[in-house]
Amino acid sequence: MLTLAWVPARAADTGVPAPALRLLDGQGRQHDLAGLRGKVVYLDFWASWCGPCRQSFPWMNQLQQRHAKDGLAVVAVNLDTEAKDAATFLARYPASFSVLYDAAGASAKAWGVKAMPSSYLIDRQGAIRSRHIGFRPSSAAELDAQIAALLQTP
Amino acid sequence: MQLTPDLQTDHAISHPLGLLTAAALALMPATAQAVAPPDSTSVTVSYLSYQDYDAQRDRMQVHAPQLHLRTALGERFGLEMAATVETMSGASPEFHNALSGASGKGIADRRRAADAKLSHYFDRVVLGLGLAYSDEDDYRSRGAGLDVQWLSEDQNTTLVAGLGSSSDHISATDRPLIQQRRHGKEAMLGLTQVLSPVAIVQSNLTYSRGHGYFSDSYKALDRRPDSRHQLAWLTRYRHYLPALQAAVHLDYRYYRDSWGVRAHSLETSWYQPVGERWLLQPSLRYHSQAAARFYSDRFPPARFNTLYSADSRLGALGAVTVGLKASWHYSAQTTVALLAEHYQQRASWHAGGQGSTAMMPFKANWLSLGVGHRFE
Amino acid sequence: MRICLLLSMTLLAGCATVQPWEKGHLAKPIMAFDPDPLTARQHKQIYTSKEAASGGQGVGTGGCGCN
Repeated sequence: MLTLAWVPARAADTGVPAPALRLLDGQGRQHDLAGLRGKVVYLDFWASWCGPCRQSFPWMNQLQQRHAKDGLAVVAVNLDTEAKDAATFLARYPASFSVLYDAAGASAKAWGVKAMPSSYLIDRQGAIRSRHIGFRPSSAAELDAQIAALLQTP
Repeated sequence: MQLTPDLQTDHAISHPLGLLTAAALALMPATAQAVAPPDSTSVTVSYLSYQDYDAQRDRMQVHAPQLHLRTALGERFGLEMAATVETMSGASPEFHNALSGASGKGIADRRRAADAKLSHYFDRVVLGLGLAYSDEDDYRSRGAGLDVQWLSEDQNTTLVAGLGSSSDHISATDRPLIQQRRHGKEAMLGLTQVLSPVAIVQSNLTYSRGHGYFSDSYKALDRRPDSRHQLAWLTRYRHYLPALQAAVHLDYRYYRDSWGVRAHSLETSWYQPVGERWLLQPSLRYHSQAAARFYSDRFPPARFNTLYSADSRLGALGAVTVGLKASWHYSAQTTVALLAEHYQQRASWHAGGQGSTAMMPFKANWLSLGVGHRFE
Repeated sequence: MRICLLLSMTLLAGCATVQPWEKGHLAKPIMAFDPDPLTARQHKQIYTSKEAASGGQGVGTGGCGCN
C-alpha cells in the first residue's frame, strides 16, 4: 500500500465513477467535483503534518501551471483538524491550485484513503483511472507521463 | 459549482508563524504516515556539564560536547549519527564507590563515543544496521545491531525485532598487565500500537547475555560472576491533550538479571508549548533497585575467594531525578534548548525496604545546552 | 487484535482503528518516543554508570567502561 509508483486502481475500481466530493474552499464557497466533468483531475488528500505532502506541493504547482491549458485540474483536500495548521503550511508552501477543507475526514473515508498523502487520477468522464499512495520526487516523472497520456485521451 | 483553479487568496492572508507546527514537519513517528526516511537534514550540537558530589566535597566533573545528525540518503535510506567526547576529572576513576576515597589521586580520563545507524526503507518494512563505538584509556567497546520493523497495513501497529552483539576490551591504566575481554549478545522484540488519535504505546523486551570480565579492576577484592544475563522490559506511553496542546510521556522499565538485581524505573515528562516559540518540559524519574546477590556493605569481605563487590551501584537503593527543559524556537528551523536536572540516590529510597545501609547519599547535577538546526 | 485488546486493557484506552488522517496529533514531535536523541544518550550514559540496571533502548548500542 505504500508503493510509490502509480498503481492501477484495483480491477473493481478501474473506470468506476469517482465518489462524490463536495467541499468548501478557504472562502467558504462550495465546490463539487462533478462540476469538473470534461477535465482530467489530479485529486490529492493531504495534511500539514505529513512530510511527503510538503514535497508534493511544488510538483503539484508545476503540474497545474503546465497542464491547466490542456484541461487538467489539480485539487487538494486538506484533512487537518485545525484550520490554523493548514494555514501555516500553506504560508510556507504556497499552492497555486484549489485547496478544499475537510476537517471531519468524511471525504477521505468515502474515497478509501489508506495513508498520507493519497492521490487519485480521474479522467474526463469522471472515472478513477489510478490511485497513488505517498510521494517521492523520483516518481514525479512517471506521474507526469501518466497524466500527459490521460490528457491526450478525449 | 466549478472548481476555482486558483485560490491564491487562501494563503495570501498573513498567518501566525506557527513555529511549533512547522517544526512538527521535521520528525514523525513511523506510524503517522507513509514510511520514509527523514525529509530534511537535522543537526544538533550540545554541551553537557555534569557534576556529582557528596556531603564532603565535589567528586567528579564531566564536560562533553555532543553532536547528532539525521539525514536522508536518497529516497530509500536514512542515516542517524551521534558523537561525543567526554572529559572526566575528579578524585578517582571509580568515582562512585564508598571505598574509593582510599586512592584519592586526581584523574583525568577521556571517553570518545560514536554511533551510527543506517536504515533502509521499503514500503512497509524498515531494515536498520547500527554500529557503536566507545573508547577510553582503559576500556574499549564495540557494538553492532540489526533490526527489522514491520508496519501493519493500517499503519497502526509496528513490530520490531533486533539482534545485537558487543565486544569490550578492558585494561587498567595503573596495571598494564590486566587485559580482559567481555562479549555480549542481545535480542529484542517490540510492538508499537496506535491506541487512539491521541495515544500511542510501545513495549520492547530486550534479553542480553554477556560473558567475560565484569569485575572492577580498580576496586580492591572486587570479584563478580563471569557472566551476566539481563532482561529489560521497557514500555513507553505517549498521550496528547488537545485542549492544552500538551503531551504526556510515561516510561516504565522493569529490569532483572542473573546477578539478582531487580529494578523498576518510572519516568514521566510533560511537554507544554507556551506561545508560538517556547516549549517547557518538566520531568520526574524514580528508580529503585534490589542489590546484586554478591554485594556487601562490609569491607573487607567476610570470606575471601567468593564473589564480592562493595560497589554501591550494585547495592539496594532508590534514586530520583527532577528535571526541567526549556526549548526556544528561534525560527521554524532553529531551536535552542537548555536542560537542567538534579539526581539523588539514597539507600532509604529503595522501594519496599531499607536498602544498603552503608551507602552514602549521592547527588549529581547536570546541565545541557543545545542548538538544533533543520536544513531544508 | 488480541494484542490490541491486551494493550487497551492494560492502559484503559480505546483501540478503535485510527484512520490515516486522524494522526495529526500523533505526528507532533512532542509525541515521539525519542523526541531528543542527544538527551536520551546522555541519560543512558549517566544512569548506566550510576545504577545497576540498563538496556531496553535498542540493540547494538554498545557499552562503556562506566559500570
